[in-house]
Amino acid sequence: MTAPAAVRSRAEQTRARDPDRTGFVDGDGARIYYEVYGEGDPPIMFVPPWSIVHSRVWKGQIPSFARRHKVIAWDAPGNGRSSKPSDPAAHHFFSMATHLLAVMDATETPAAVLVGVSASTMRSIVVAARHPERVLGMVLLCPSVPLGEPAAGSDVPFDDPLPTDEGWAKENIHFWQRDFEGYLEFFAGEAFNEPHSTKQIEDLVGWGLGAGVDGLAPSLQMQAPDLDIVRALFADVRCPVLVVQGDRDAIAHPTKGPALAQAIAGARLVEFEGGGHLPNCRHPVKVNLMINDFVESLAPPPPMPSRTWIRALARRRRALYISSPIGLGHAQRDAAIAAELRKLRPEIEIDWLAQHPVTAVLEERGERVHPASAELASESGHFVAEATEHDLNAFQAIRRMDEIQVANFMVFHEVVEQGEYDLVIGDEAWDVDYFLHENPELKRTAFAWMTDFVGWLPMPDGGDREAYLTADYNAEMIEHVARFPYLRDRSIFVGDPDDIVPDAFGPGMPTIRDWTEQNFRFAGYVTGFDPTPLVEGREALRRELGYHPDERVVVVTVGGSGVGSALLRRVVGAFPEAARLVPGLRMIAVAGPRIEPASLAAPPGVEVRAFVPDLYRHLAASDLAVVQGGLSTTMELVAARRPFLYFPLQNHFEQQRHVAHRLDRYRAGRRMDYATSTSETIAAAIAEEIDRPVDYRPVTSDGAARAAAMIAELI
Amino acid sequence: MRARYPDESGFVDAQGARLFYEVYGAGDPTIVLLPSLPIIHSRQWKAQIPFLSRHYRVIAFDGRGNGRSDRPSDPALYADSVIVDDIEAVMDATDTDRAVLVGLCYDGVWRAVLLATTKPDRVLGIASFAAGVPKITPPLPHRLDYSFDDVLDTTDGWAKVNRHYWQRDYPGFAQFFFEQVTSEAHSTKQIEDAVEWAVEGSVDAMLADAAVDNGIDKEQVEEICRRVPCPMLLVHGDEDSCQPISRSRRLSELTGAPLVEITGADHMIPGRHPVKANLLIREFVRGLQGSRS
Repeated sequence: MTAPAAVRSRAEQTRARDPDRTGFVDGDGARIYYEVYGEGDPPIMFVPPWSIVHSRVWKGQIPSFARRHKVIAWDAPGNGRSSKPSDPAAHHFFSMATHLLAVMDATETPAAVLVGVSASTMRSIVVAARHPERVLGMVLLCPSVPLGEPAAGSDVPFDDPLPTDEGWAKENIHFWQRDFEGYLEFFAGEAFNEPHSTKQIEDLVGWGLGAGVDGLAPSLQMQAPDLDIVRALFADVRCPVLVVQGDRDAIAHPTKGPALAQAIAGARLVEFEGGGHLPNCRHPVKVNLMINDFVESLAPPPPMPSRTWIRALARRRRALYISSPIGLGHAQRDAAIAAELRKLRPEIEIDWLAQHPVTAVLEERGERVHPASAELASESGHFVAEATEHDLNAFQAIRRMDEIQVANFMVFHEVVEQGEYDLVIGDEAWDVDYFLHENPELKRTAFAWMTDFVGWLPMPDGGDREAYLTADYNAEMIEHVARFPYLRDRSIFVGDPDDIVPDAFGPGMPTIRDWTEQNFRFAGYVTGFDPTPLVEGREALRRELGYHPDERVVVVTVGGSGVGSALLRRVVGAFPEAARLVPGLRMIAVAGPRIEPASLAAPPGVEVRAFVPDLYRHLAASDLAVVQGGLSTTMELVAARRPFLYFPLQNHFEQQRHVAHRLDRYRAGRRMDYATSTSETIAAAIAEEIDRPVDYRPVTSDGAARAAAMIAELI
Repeated sequence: MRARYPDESGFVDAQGARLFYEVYGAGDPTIVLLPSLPIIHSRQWKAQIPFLSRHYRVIAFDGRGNGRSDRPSDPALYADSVIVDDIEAVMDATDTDRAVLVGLCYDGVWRAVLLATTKPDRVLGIASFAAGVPKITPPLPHRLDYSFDDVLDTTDGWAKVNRHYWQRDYPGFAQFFFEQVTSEAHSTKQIEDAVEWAVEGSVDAMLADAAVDNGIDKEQVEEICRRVPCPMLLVHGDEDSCQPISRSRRLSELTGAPLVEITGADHMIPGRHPVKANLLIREFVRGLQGSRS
């Protein structure tokens, strides 16, 4: 099936790591933009390949290596922030070598390890051959070199009009001028011929559009290299070289890597079976580990360290708990599950790998947060960056978090490599689950996977394209689980089978419910607290919190997320009208840890509070709550049996589909549409709902214990 | 049935005894597995030989007093200098210029240290398990409770480490001793093996060995340890009932060698924790290769 065209977004997605320094330097006929990250020897330079991409092609590598090395990346002429010279000479590999050296000089880098892919190869080899003192070693992925079989499209004349647009005939200036994006789509599809590469393809097309026809055309208008010169260059390379070649490389050719490894004395070759042309993008974890091994091999091996090994039966039970940082709700339930797990395995030691704001909750409870948590790139910050007003396409936000997920998986991998854990518990730890399935040999412990929804679902605004993408993501997940059933030792659904949406994973695919029932166990809902005393002791709780019997208290909150200030503003704006309809109305707006209270411009009479500990107690004591559509907060209200209005984020498939389905099952909450709600409609809804008696389906209170019992079997 | 049989075996004439040796594999470097003599013989390394010989050339030999080697009963033939010469004799007989030495306790580790300091060009490195370097820290208290030579009025516990008891019931001593030094739960097979190897030996050889006084004091031992010229790896269990872990800790200070402490392990690490021991030896040997190239 042909993929529906991608909808382009102009904004660069959140990076896992921003450069510490950027600059420009004059190269050979071009102005070159560079970035410097981190510190530590040896420095690693990621050399740009063909200008169809720019330095972001290394986004899967830079954040991880910048944790321990000085990392340099730069944009080749014609793309990114470098200039776009019209003279083809600026693209020749000799000129590129001059640019490379200029960047090394500008960044005060006497020598570095060079990492390249595709067309990075010749420019790196020129420097290694002619300036050997500046190159400590080279990793060359799917090298584009004039050896082996010709590269795809090399027989297509670039400047002559052609009678066809088929296949590589698209690599022609006349086609480019008609449909450059069409060419980019074709090229990206060839470069990423592995299934489930939609994000990598989108990225590449986006980067190619940055070059444009003018930026890219000169690079195809230079003369072919002189083979004798090229061979002499290969013969002069003396540094250690690792060549990596995908056997499905449809851009260069699978024969090129082996030929290059033969041409360079002492070069080692690793072949990637099933791998396409850009393994650094499509197989970032494996590529990172290979680069890391190579860099470590350049230094003399460190002496064996003194250390302790604990014989198996003398070990304490140790678990690493990864709590999803998107929103705060999981912290409560994960801490509750951990507490139940300790009842079953009293001697267990639990370390937490988590991020702000989850870490704050955990530390307050005396939990042990692993120090490597500080090295995680912020996922919640990314979600805030992806949101606009009351709108967050959660599926696209997850996709656009790919760089952060690679970076964080590498941190996770190092933690389990060193931590002697028996068990990893991942509550919606998407990065861990995905990259373990992509790199199954990295599994070192039992793995308990936990989630409160299964299945990516498209939103109507996303059209055919989003339906295609969600089906593709679901298909990859289903294939992963079917092929590597040993990776998730336990799959736990936080809820009941009836909480699962009735949808299929995609056209012609199983229903989510059938598949989930076959592949998961069901813990029931996990509230993280016992609602019974709150329901039964509500009057005492109101007195304790200072709510008077004649007051009607509305609590407005968007939970711990930074997304939602627009909703808060709109709801507090409805207060005057609501107060007119409801005598004795008192409105308390909780801004949360991420929203500045003053930014809400609350009208007189509304109390705005920053952080409220144990917010669920306030919700339980309220007469009505107004909240976003997140699962944790809405289910706290269901458990506390309070009426509430909820506003799912626009385009947020989880809130709009999964959570709403579950709340319907509980006969709970009045769903509101942010886009069409006004002060008047919100005030009217408050007035209608505030006294409505609830007949909610009861929320089970043993979910944490059931989940813990399922996990305890593994440890 | 062995997992791996030797490619070559033979006897070498050493001072006052003929020694039996075995050669396995053909890799580089050569690893010589030193005997814990005369209490047990070269089968003590049965869990190491098949693995290590896939990667390296491995030599094991029966120390004098056990296995297929001779059992002289003259204490002079069990002096440290004689045993150190035995290692060289086996290396010469197998055309082994230089080797990594792997040893356990006093018999293995201290003799390896002596060879490395007297013939540094023959020793590439030493992997030491439960180092029994003498005198550098006090012995475990239970080793001091009873006289070895006097006639005792008890045979309880460590009172079995007594020449009169040995002569009466050597298997009883062996059973007691290996139960004590293999105290990890679920060690029945390792204990049975060691007792069997012990009773294949000779109580006269044990008595001769026990009569040796090498006449060396703590300062001299420390001085020798400081002079070890090759890399060492020290591995020691924190529940060792034969050699206190303090000995490996002190040896680590004296030599600068890394110490891998094994929590919950007793004395017989290569037999009781064979996979860990094998991986540590391989890691150590790989490190030596890296530093040579």
